[in-house]
Amino acid sequence: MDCTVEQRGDLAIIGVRGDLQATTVDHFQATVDRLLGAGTRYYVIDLAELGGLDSAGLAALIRLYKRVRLGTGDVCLAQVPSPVQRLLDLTRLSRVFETFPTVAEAAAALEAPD
Amino acid sequence: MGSEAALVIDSRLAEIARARQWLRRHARAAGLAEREIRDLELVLSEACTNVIQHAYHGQPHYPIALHLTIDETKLTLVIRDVGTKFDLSAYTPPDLDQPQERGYGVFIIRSLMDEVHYDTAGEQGTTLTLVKYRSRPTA
Repeated sequence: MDCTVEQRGDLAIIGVRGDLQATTVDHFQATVDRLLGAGTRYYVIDLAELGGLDSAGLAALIRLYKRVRLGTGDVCLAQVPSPVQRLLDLTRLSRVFETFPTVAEAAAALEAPD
Repeated sequence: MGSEAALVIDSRLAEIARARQWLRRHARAAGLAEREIRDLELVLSEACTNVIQHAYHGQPHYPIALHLTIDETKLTLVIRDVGTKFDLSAYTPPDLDQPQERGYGVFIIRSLMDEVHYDTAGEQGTTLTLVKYRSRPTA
Protein backbone atom coordinates (compact mmCIF):
# COMPACT_ATOMS: atom_id res chain seq x y z
CA MET A 1 0.00 0.00 0.00
CA ASP A 2 0.97 3.58 -0.47
CA CYS A 3 -0.05 6.85 1.19
CA THR A 4 0.05 10.26 -0.42
CA VAL A 5 -0.14 13.39 1.72
CA GLU A 6 -1.28 16.82 0.65
CA GLN A 7 -0.80 19.38 3.39
CA ARG A 8 -2.92 22.53 3.42
CA GLY A 9 -1.93 24.38 6.57
CA ASP A 10 -3.63 22.62 9.45
CA LEU A 11 -5.34 20.12 7.13
CA ALA A 12 -3.81 16.95 5.71
CA ILE A 13 -5.39 14.99 2.87
CA ILE A 14 -4.15 11.41 3.04
CA GLY A 15 -4.76 9.29 -0.04
CA VAL A 16 -4.67 5.56 0.64
CA ARG A 17 -3.81 3.40 -2.33
CA GLY A 18 -4.06 -0.38 -1.91
CA ASP A 19 -5.05 -2.39 1.16
CA LEU A 20 -5.39 -0.94 4.65
CA GLN A 21 -5.13 -4.19 6.53
CA ALA A 22 -3.12 -5.94 9.23
CA THR A 23 -0.32 -6.56 6.75
CA THR A 24 -0.04 -2.94 5.63
CA VAL A 25 -1.43 -0.78 8.41
CA ASP A 26 2.00 0.12 9.86
CA HIS A 27 2.79 2.35 6.88
CA PHE A 28 -0.47 4.28 7.28
CA GLN A 29 0.11 4.53 11.02
CA ALA A 30 3.62 5.92 10.52
CA THR A 31 2.26 8.57 8.13
CA VAL A 32 -0.43 9.56 10.61
CA ASP A 33 2.00 9.60 13.54
CA ARG A 34 4.32 11.93 11.63
CA LEU A 35 1.48 14.35 10.85
CA LEU A 36 0.12 14.24 14.39
CA GLY A 37 3.63 14.84 15.72
CA ALA A 38 3.87 17.93 13.51
CA GLY A 39 0.63 19.23 15.02
CA THR A 40 -1.76 18.67 12.11
CA ARG A 41 -5.30 18.73 13.48
CA TYR A 42 -7.63 18.09 10.54
CA TYR A 43 -7.59 15.03 8.29
CA VAL A 44 -9.36 13.94 5.13
CA ILE A 45 -8.76 10.28 4.35
CA ASP A 46 -9.28 9.79 0.63
CA LEU A 47 -10.34 6.17 0.07
CA ALA A 48 -10.95 6.32 -3.69
CA GLU A 49 -8.10 3.92 -4.37
CA LEU A 50 -8.50 1.81 -1.25
CA GLY A 51 -8.37 -1.93 -1.91
CA GLY A 52 -9.37 -3.90 1.16
CA LEU A 53 -10.07 -2.75 4.71
CA ASP A 54 -10.08 -5.06 7.72
CA SER A 55 -10.38 -4.65 11.49
CA ALA A 56 -6.73 -3.55 11.75
CA GLY A 57 -7.42 -0.80 9.21
CA LEU A 58 -10.56 0.21 11.08
CA ALA A 59 -8.55 0.32 14.31
CA ALA A 60 -6.02 2.68 12.69
CA LEU A 61 -8.82 5.02 11.61
CA ILE A 62 -10.38 4.91 15.07
CA ARG A 63 -6.99 5.58 16.68
CA LEU A 64 -6.59 8.68 14.52
CA TYR A 65 -10.15 9.79 15.30
CA LYS A 66 -9.58 9.46 19.04
CA ARG A 67 -6.30 11.31 18.96
CA VAL A 68 -7.54 14.30 16.99
CA ARG A 69 -10.74 14.47 19.02
CA LEU A 70 -8.72 14.78 22.21
CA GLY A 71 -8.03 18.28 20.98
CA THR A 72 -10.02 20.40 18.59
CA GLY A 73 -9.25 18.40 15.46
CA ASP A 74 -11.39 16.17 13.30
CA VAL A 75 -11.17 13.48 10.65
CA CYS A 76 -13.52 12.58 7.83
CA LEU A 77 -13.56 10.17 4.91
CA ALA A 78 -13.93 10.89 1.22
CA GLN A 79 -14.78 8.76 -1.82
CA VAL A 80 -15.63 5.69 0.25
CA PRO A 81 -15.98 2.54 -1.90
CA SER A 82 -19.25 0.66 -1.38
CA PRO A 83 -17.70 -2.47 0.25
CA VAL A 84 -15.94 -0.19 2.74
CA GLN A 85 -19.14 1.76 3.38
CA ARG A 86 -20.84 -1.55 4.09
CA LEU A 87 -18.17 -2.41 6.67
CA LEU A 88 -18.54 1.03 8.26
CA ASP A 89 -22.30 0.47 8.44
CA LEU A 90 -21.86 -3.03 9.90
CA THR A 91 -19.63 -1.74 12.69
CA ARG A 92 -21.73 1.43 13.06
CA LEU A 93 -18.59 3.48 12.44
CA SER A 94 -20.55 5.32 9.78
CA ARG A 95 -22.00 7.24 12.74
CA VAL A 96 -18.48 8.18 13.85
CA PHE A 97 -16.86 9.14 10.57
CA GLU A 98 -18.51 11.77 8.44
CA THR A 99 -18.18 10.78 4.79
CA PHE A 100 -18.19 12.91 1.64
CA PRO A 101 -18.46 12.03 -2.04
CA THR A 102 -15.44 14.17 -2.93
CA VAL A 103 -12.20 15.30 -1.30
CA ALA A 104 -13.10 18.92 -2.04
CA GLU A 105 -16.35 18.66 -0.08
CA ALA A 106 -14.62 16.92 2.82
CA ALA A 107 -11.86 19.53 2.92
CA ALA A 108 -14.38 22.37 2.76
CA ALA A 109 -16.30 20.88 5.70
CA LEU A 110 -13.17 20.70 7.83
CA GLU A 111 -11.87 24.09 6.78
CA ALA A 112 -15.16 25.72 7.69
CA PRO A 113 -16.33 23.83 10.80
CA ASP A 114 -19.63 24.72 12.45
CA MET B 1 -21.48 -31.45 -7.34
CA GLY B 2 -18.99 -29.77 -5.07
CA SER B 3 -15.35 -28.93 -4.75
CA GLU B 4 -12.79 -29.30 -2.03
CA ALA B 5 -9.37 -27.75 -1.45
CA ALA B 6 -6.74 -27.52 1.24
CA LEU B 7 -3.85 -25.17 1.94
CA VAL B 8 -1.39 -24.75 4.78
CA ILE B 9 0.14 -21.33 5.36
CA ASP B 10 2.85 -20.16 7.70
CA SER B 11 1.91 -18.03 10.72
CA ARG B 12 3.01 -14.75 9.14
CA LEU B 13 0.74 -11.85 8.16
CA ALA B 14 2.34 -11.79 4.71
CA GLU B 15 0.99 -15.30 4.12
CA ILE B 16 -2.60 -14.11 4.39
CA ALA B 17 -2.48 -12.67 0.87
CA ARG B 18 -1.68 -16.14 -0.48
CA ALA B 19 -4.59 -17.63 1.47
CA ARG B 20 -6.94 -14.94 0.11
CA GLN B 21 -5.88 -15.66 -3.46
CA TRP B 22 -6.42 -19.37 -2.89
CA LEU B 23 -9.88 -18.78 -1.47
CA ARG B 24 -10.80 -16.32 -4.25
CA ARG B 25 -9.70 -18.74 -6.94
CA HIS B 26 -11.83 -21.61 -5.62
CA ALA B 27 -14.82 -19.44 -4.73
CA ARG B 28 -14.83 -17.85 -8.17
CA ALA B 29 -14.54 -21.25 -9.86
CA ALA B 30 -17.56 -22.39 -7.85
CA GLY B 31 -19.55 -19.42 -9.11
CA LEU B 32 -19.89 -17.39 -5.92
CA ALA B 33 -20.88 -13.76 -6.34
CA GLU B 34 -18.18 -11.08 -6.10
CA ARG B 35 -19.70 -9.61 -2.96
CA GLU B 36 -19.73 -13.03 -1.28
CA ILE B 37 -16.10 -13.57 -2.26
CA ARG B 38 -15.08 -10.20 -0.80
CA ASP B 39 -16.83 -11.05 2.47
CA LEU B 40 -15.14 -14.44 2.60
CA GLU B 41 -11.72 -12.91 1.95
CA LEU B 42 -12.28 -10.45 4.78
CA VAL B 43 -13.42 -13.20 7.15
CA LEU B 44 -10.41 -15.34 6.23
CA SER B 45 -8.06 -12.41 6.88
CA GLU B 46 -9.62 -11.69 10.26
CA ALA B 47 -9.52 -15.34 11.31
CA CYS B 48 -5.90 -15.86 10.20
CA THR B 49 -4.79 -12.59 11.82
CA ASN B 50 -6.36 -13.73 15.08
CA VAL B 51 -4.56 -17.08 14.86
CA ILE B 52 -1.20 -15.40 14.21
CA GLN B 53 -1.64 -12.80 16.95
CA HIS B 54 -3.40 -14.79 19.65
CA ALA B 55 -2.84 -18.52 19.04
CA TYR B 56 0.79 -18.13 17.97
CA HIS B 57 1.51 -14.78 19.70
CA GLY B 58 3.05 -13.32 16.55
CA GLN B 59 5.58 -16.13 16.15
CA PRO B 60 6.25 -17.31 12.57
CA HIS B 61 6.81 -20.86 11.32
CA TYR B 62 3.70 -22.42 12.80
CA PRO B 63 1.04 -23.98 10.57
CA ILE B 64 -2.40 -22.63 9.81
CA ALA B 65 -4.31 -25.35 7.98
CA LEU B 66 -7.19 -24.28 5.73
CA HIS B 67 -9.80 -26.58 4.30
CA LEU B 68 -12.51 -25.41 1.94
CA THR B 69 -15.62 -27.25 0.81
CA ILE B 70 -18.11 -25.74 -1.59
CA ASP B 71 -21.31 -27.42 -2.68
CA GLU B 72 -24.62 -26.31 -4.14
CA THR B 73 -25.93 -24.92 -0.89
CA LYS B 74 -23.02 -23.66 1.15
CA LEU B 75 -19.35 -22.91 1.57
CA THR B 76 -17.52 -24.34 4.58
CA LEU B 77 -14.11 -23.04 5.58
CA VAL B 78 -12.22 -24.79 8.37
CA ILE B 79 -9.19 -23.05 9.91
CA ARG B 80 -7.06 -25.11 12.26
CA ASP B 81 -4.10 -24.11 14.39
CA VAL B 82 -2.03 -25.87 17.03
CA GLY B 83 -1.38 -22.83 19.20
CA THR B 84 -3.01 -21.41 22.30
CA LYS B 85 -6.68 -22.37 22.35
CA PHE B 86 -9.19 -19.65 21.59
CA ASP B 87 -11.09 -18.63 24.72
CA LEU B 88 -14.50 -17.53 23.57
CA SER B 89 -15.51 -16.72 27.15
CA ALA B 90 -12.78 -14.05 27.28
CA TYR B 91 -14.05 -12.36 24.15
CA THR B 92 -15.93 -9.11 24.63
CA PRO B 93 -17.91 -7.89 21.62
CA PRO B 94 -17.23 -4.26 20.76
CA ASP B 95 -19.60 -1.67 22.11
CA LEU B 96 -20.84 -0.31 18.79
CA ASP B 97 -21.89 2.93 20.45
CA GLN B 98 -18.30 3.69 21.46
CA PRO B 99 -15.62 3.37 18.78
CA GLN B 100 -12.92 1.00 19.96
CA GLU B 101 -9.60 -0.12 18.59
CA ARG B 102 -10.09 -3.81 19.39
CA GLY B 103 -12.68 -6.54 19.09
CA TYR B 104 -13.98 -5.93 15.58
CA GLY B 105 -12.30 -8.99 14.07
CA VAL B 106 -14.48 -11.63 15.69
CA PHE B 107 -17.47 -9.31 15.36
CA ILE B 108 -16.93 -9.07 11.58
CA ILE B 109 -16.52 -12.85 11.31
CA ARG B 110 -19.76 -13.47 13.19
CA SER B 111 -21.63 -10.80 11.27
CA LEU B 112 -20.67 -11.98 7.80
CA MET B 113 -20.89 -15.76 8.27
CA ASP B 114 -24.03 -17.80 8.84
CA GLU B 115 -22.41 -20.28 11.23
CA VAL B 116 -19.29 -19.86 13.37
CA HIS B 117 -18.05 -22.67 15.56
CA TYR B 118 -14.88 -22.79 17.68
CA ASP B 119 -13.74 -26.28 18.67
CA THR B 120 -11.04 -26.44 21.33
CA ALA B 121 -11.69 -30.03 22.39
CA GLY B 122 -8.60 -31.38 20.63
CA GLU B 123 -5.27 -31.86 22.33
CA GLN B 124 -3.84 -28.73 20.75
CA GLY B 125 -5.10 -25.52 19.26
CA THR B 126 -8.44 -24.48 17.88
CA THR B 127 -10.51 -25.57 14.91
CA LEU B 128 -12.71 -22.78 13.60
CA THR B 129 -15.51 -23.84 11.28
CA LEU B 130 -17.18 -21.13 9.21
CA VAL B 131 -20.26 -21.71 7.08
CA LYS B 132 -21.81 -19.38 4.53
CA TYR B 133 -25.00 -20.41 2.76
CA ARG B 134 -25.01 -19.52 -0.89
CA SER B 135 -27.30 -16.70 -1.94
CA ARG B 136 -28.24 -18.33 -5.23
CA PRO B 137 -28.23 -22.12 -5.03
CA THR B 138 -27.61 -23.77 -8.37
CA ALA B 139 -30.62 -25.56 -9.86
